[in-house]
Amino acid sequence: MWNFSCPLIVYGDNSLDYLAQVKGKKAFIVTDKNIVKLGLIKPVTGKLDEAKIQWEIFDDVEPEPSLTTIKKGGVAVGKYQPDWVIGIGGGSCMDAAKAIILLLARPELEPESLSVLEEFNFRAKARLMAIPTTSGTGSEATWAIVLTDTKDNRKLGLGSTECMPDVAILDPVMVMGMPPQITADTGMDVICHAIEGYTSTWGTSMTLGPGLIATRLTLEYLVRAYKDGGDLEARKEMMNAATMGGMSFGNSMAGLAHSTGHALGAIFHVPHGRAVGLFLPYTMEYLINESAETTAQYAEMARYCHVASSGSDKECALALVARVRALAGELGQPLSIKDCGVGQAEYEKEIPRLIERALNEVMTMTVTRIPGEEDLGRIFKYAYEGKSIDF
Amino acid sequence: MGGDFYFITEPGGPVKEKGFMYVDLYHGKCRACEIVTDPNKYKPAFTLAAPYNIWKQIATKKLDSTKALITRQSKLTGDMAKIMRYTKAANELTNCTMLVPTEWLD
Repeated sequence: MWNFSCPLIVYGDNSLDYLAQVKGKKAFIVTDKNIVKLGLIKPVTGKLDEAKIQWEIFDDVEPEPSLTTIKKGGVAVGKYQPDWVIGIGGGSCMDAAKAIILLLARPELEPESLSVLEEFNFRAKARLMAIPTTSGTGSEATWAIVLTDTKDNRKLGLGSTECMPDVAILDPVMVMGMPPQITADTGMDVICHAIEGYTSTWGTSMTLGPGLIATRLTLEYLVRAYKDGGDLEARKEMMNAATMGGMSFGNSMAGLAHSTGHALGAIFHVPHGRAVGLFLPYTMEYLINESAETTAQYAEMARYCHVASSGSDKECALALVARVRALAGELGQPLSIKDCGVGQAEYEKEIPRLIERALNEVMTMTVTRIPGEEDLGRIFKYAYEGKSIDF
Repeated sequence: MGGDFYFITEPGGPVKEKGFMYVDLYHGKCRACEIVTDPNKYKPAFTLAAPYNIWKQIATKKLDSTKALITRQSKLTGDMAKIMRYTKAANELTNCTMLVPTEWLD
């Protein structure tokens, strides 16, 4: 038994108008101060006003939301008792909204216990909506919640199958103002989700389609969106790609680029999309070197996305790796950890911690070649130097 | 990591009565392992319960143990925050299970 879930996805021009159809009395908006400053909350609250839904804003979410912030949000939502919780922002805000709605139902829980092992039944009280302002983490279409334990410098992969949003609204007006750097970082997250979702050992035929299309859309539209934020077609297709990437990995599992990227992000505070996108080609090489199954899958993707038209599976798979690196290069992304400005001595000191964190993520186990400590250590070292994986 | 467990087989299929196996794990070593007839004998930190057919699928790697939890085919009680940090250990526990010669009831 497995399952596939996704929200009602309302997308395209003027999709925020959907808010006029929403039934409810009170909405608790979870976001960050920057989103408020950019004026991105106003289009939403304007529609809520039209629908005669009261609202309150919780804008304390920081990038890589902490357990402390979620706890604070849990107290605030408990006082407000809304019937909608709306996450507006990037993955941090949407993940925070998911965590906070779980605490609405189970206020006695600590945020680090918000896992699939608990039952919440929050829909007896409120429903969940996600409105992304990046393209993106795909959080609007997953039940995953990633929080940061700031005391231990560790990312926690939490979440409940119950916290798949009820509705996701993909209105391009929310992403048009995204600066190039964020467009690039979050865009690399999309291709990582797409490729890892497609090749996950937890994947099935249900999760292949969204991953494949998300890969093709990212290769076609991300650089356009990066170079010209006003390119409406590129913005719309990247929003779709982000959500489809979420549908793919969210219903299978992310992989090794995510577990290594999480570890790097937790300890060296490299933004999520930049970190996972950096590791993606290295982890792809690692899998190609011993997994015929994943090599064949990469080759399928390469052929479908017109990255390679002829050649063996290995040649086509390596062409996809090269294409991912080229994409990162076009976006001005770092191709090695050294390029992120991390000092070598400091990095080498942290390798044991990086390994330990990556080892204890489910995503390290859902690939066809599961690394142990030694291989993880080598991947971390090679990625620092920018050396292709040859083992 | 340290933790003691009851691994519980729920009645169903060839299993007529609830079965309890106590396992005490401590930093890579198994300090105790016994079939328990009186479930009140121990108060372990964790319990993991599933029907026989699910245990068999997990032990023969037809079903991932984490997937079994996500789909509520198995049920875990205990300190969730603690256990969520030890995915590798959970994976190795399943791998170790496969090494034990087993006679299945069906």
